[in-house]
Amino acid sequence: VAGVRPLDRQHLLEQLAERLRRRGFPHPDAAAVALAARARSGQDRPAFACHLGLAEGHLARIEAGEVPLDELPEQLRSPPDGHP
Amino acid sequence: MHPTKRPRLEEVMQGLAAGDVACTWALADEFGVELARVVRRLLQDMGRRDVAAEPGRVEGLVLDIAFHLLDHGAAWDPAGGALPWVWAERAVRSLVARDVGHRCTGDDAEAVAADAPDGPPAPASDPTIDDLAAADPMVGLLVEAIARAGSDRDVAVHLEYGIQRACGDPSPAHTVAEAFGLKPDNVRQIDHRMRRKLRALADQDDRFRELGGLRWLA
Repeated sequence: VAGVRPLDRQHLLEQLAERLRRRGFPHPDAAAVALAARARSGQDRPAFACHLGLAEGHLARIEAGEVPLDELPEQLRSPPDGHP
Repeated sequence: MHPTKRPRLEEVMQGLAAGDVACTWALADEFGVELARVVRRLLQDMGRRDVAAEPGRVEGLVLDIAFHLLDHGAAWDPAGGALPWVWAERAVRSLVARDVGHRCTGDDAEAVAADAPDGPPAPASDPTIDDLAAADPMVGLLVEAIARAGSDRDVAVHLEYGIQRACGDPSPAHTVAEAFGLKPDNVRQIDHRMRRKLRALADQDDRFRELGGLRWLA
């Protein structure tokens, strides 16, 4: 039956970054990684920031695409389950 | 969609309504199978099954739906019973059509306009049940009888099932089941029960007697 295949998470991440880019996010790749990681954690931003040991404002800036990918905190580069 | 996923869906929709962009990922990742099924069905309807084979295209369309719900999902009412992507079906169809370059109908064009980031919610250009009831006393009487015959959910299921059948849907029970998070057998049972109550109402209440001859009750 068509439609039962799960989605490819890598493609999903790339497509999320593309949509953030269209919405004017300066660094959409980094924002996509952070947003996906938080979504998978099931936490809101304050809790996820606390979990990562980041200031909430810093996480907010990452999610808003204000932080380049190469400045992404290590905690977000290698999420615990190894996949965004 | 399995009914046990419904609470999580409502939680994600609340997040989208609050403008939490992370919830676009949550919706696409956790409900991707359901959303992709809708996307693939629409692509098939448009004769563009080839698009689904392109890497990333289905994922992109699923995210387009998620972003549409980020922009407009605050108007979705969980008590209404319909899944968000069914509730936004016209806009979803337009998103897919626009992506694959399919010709848009007038309705689709309205939905595309509503998809603009700051645009208004999709206007309802099709007549509503209330419009039809106001225009035709017999329809008004039938709608009143249906409202008496069951719970809000059963009424919605019965109406949608009847509409799908009238529109020539080859699998109306499956369509409605998907929309309401039910099994097709449940949909048929609800419809059967509703029609039985309507026939009883027509038999027992003079006000509704003239409904007895309608095919809708057969």
